[in-house]
Amino acid sequence: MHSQLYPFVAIVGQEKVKRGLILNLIEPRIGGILLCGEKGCAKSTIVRALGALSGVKIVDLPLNTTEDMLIGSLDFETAVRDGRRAFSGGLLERADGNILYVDEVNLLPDSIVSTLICASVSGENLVEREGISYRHSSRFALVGTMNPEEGRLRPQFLDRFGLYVPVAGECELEKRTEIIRRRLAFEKDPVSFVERYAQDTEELAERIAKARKRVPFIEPDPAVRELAANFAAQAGTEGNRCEIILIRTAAAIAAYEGREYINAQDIKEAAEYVMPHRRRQTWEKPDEQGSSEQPEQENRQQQEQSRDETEQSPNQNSMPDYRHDEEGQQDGQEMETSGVQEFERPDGGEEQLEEGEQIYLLSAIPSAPRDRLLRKGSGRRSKSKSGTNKGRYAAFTQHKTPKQRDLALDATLRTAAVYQKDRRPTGGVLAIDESDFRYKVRENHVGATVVFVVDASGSMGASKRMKETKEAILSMLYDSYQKRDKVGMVAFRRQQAEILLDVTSSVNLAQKKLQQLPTGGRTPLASGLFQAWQMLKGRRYKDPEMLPILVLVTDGRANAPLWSSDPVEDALKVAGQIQADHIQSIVVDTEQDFISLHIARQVADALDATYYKVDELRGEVLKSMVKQETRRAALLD
Amino acid sequence: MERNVYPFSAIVGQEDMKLALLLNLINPALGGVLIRGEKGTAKSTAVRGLCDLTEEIDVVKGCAFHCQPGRPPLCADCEGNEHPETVRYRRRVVELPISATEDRVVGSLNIEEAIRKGKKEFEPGILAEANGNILYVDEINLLDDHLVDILLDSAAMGVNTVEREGVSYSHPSRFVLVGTMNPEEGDLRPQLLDRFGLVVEIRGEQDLALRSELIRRRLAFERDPEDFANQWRPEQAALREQIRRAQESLDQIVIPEEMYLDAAKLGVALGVDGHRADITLLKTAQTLAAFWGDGAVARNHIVKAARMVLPHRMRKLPFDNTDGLPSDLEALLDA
Repeated sequence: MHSQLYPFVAIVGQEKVKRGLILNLIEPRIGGILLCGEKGCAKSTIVRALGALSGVKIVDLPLNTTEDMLIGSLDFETAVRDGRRAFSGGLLERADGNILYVDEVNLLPDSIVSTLICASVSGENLVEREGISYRHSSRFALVGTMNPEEGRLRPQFLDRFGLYVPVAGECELEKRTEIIRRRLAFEKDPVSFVERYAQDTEELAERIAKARKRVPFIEPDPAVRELAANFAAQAGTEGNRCEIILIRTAAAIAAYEGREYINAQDIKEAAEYVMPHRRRQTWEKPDEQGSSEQPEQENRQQQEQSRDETEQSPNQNSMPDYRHDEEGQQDGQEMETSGVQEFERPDGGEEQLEEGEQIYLLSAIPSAPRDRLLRKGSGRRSKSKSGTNKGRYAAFTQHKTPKQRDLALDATLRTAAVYQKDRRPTGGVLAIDESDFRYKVRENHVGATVVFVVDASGSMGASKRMKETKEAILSMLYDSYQKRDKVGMVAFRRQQAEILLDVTSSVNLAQKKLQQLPTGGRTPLASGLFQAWQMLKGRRYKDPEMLPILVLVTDGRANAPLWSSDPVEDALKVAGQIQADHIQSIVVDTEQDFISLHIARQVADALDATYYKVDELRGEVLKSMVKQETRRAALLD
Repeated sequence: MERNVYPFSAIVGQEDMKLALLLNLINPALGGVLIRGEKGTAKSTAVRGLCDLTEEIDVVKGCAFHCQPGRPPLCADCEGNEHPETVRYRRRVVELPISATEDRVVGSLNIEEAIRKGKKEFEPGILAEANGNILYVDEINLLDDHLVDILLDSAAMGVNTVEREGVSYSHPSRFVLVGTMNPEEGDLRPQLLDRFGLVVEIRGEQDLALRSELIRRRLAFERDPEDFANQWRPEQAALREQIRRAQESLDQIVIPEEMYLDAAKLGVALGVDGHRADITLLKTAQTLAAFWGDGAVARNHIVKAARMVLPHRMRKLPFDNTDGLPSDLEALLDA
């Protein structure tokens, strides 16, 4: 099946992307490239156009790939015909010596990613399954495209991409019009469009072929090696992989430029491709708002890295533990009620509205499931083996579970195939024995249902506290968006809690409701917790396998009781019930006053929650939510 | 079955939605329509009504992908076939229910062939059926995530590549993707949003006269669908003719130099991601000119097209609150 491909040489702009890909054609051992950037920038078009420039094949790894198709499996037809176990190669075999291309690589399921990493590290594919033992070479350049808004990559996986190029659209009007012009011309008459660029294509292909021949003879001299090592050391990268790829890339650059030696400039240029995704992240607190001024691309790269780093700390164990000073807390309790009442006037004061302006990356991922139950759902927060017949078919197993009777026909048939010669000597319909049965293992991403309980009382209006709070929640919402969680939101202020947003998968809606939330009035903490609890209970009733998470954001200055006369007592009581109900909680304490009352900490303990101070959450600043007006204004000038 | 379809031209109001659907019918390369809005606004009726407006085409007989000879891309079988036998075929609406399983969507191993003959063959799925047709996903925002990813992949490439259940196969899958959603139940991810050529927002007609007309027609249709269809035959025929002419003239529509600049200007000024918006904007304007019977793309086409092409692409991050086009696009263009 061939459709006309847009010619590589006809692509306007995107010079770095093009060069990065060409370097990979010249020196395949660079190990591929990750193109990371906004949608609609011809990322896929450029990659697919590569085929015309060299003999290399572009092998597609589609998102629906099952494990056996990647690794290879028993050859069904041979087995039936000859009763012999033969190996039928998978994508890893086809990719050997070629380019393995994954579009939307960040959406690839985990099981496939692991297999890929494995093969890419060892350069071969070792098959031990379905009665087959087989080994073949699998050296490929891994080319991936991704839109960072949609999710992250594991750091080990990130490292498998030799080069990294951030992609953004062209902003110059002239280039933009040329892009439209060429695209329309191509779509109108692809054949003559391709012909028009045939000569340029040929010239480029020749230049690449020459460089390919030259590159094995390029030896880095000691000065160059030292420079590469320096670059790697400065960036704090792990291992020596980075230097080796630096030198290979520099050699490819030199060869492409028609030289037979590497100069310092080559190494510098190579570093722009090799280093960005390998730089080790240091966890410094970003200086307040200033860091949002970074150029966007830079920002995106860092965002990429830091996300991956955060993902490495997978569970609660790595979270800071603040419980050691529990005693001090107890002491503080005596004075707190009076303190709260002093702080807030009985009438609660006026309403204020403060909007959050920045989204930052959470420096700790505040929620991960504590159990490994079979769960269902379609989010991405945690991947579980699905106990239902939903989810993607990832692999197969010999073991039937009571809930899972979803026959993996392909695997069953392969198992039965080898015995056919004995079972049906005369031919005809395949004879399948019960022992041949194989079952589908489905993989599903379980989304959490996160209910945010937001303190919007008067005390939160003090000194920009609400702005910080909103930023914290926005950041958590952003996290939820990437993990496809469902979110709900309860706010408490004045006399009682109100449901701002019932549980929905529209994180956007949650964000809007949050920004419009004013502060003012008393702090009915218990009522807020109670509402959230009811909400989560209701959801769990509908969907028993979802992962309920409660996120309480408060300064803890409870002063409106729910049942009794003691507001704090009531809050602790609800908290205890929530904990007993196996709902996982996170408490974000926004208290920053000189005299701390630590009530939020107590509530956290009653909830058995993970506890954070609001500034502990703050990671890399992701994005200043500056509106587009500036850009528009610039154009109108 | 066909006589029970409510005639497209009899739909009252919802002009934006109707226009967006017709433009895609004329030029399938526009990239589909996403209809955002409340229930009971004739979304499904309009989509189902589209087929009656298309001309029959010649497709290869027995081909699961309805390949049109001489119109690449063709499937592997049709590609090698120099003089295939053809049959008449009317484009249809292929529905993708949100409960669909992945194997039905992308296709899977043909079990019968495998068991009877011990052969490994590909059993085409919904994406095969959708090739050359309209793929309709009601409530697309409720579709399982991994299915959305697959749709996104195929819609972008026009090819469905299958690597599963022992089958390795790829076939053309070019379709006009029409999705509907109720924004209150959750949003589509920006990535998928961007793949929709046009997006229209709809709400129930507020005008009383229109509302009562709507009820009157609906009741008439339900009382006697055949008679109703007969009544609307002239309008349907006129619309069909308009579409046919538009399709014929599409390639001849001139795009003046300034219009390229206009499209790019809007893209830059509104801060849309990438270039898909610019390209779709101009293609939509061109199709609009063809539909309205104009010979060249002009400012009014661009402005009208921008309302359908740009709003959903203006967001930079999931939480950017920059929805809504500025009301005066002309001023922006004259700047």
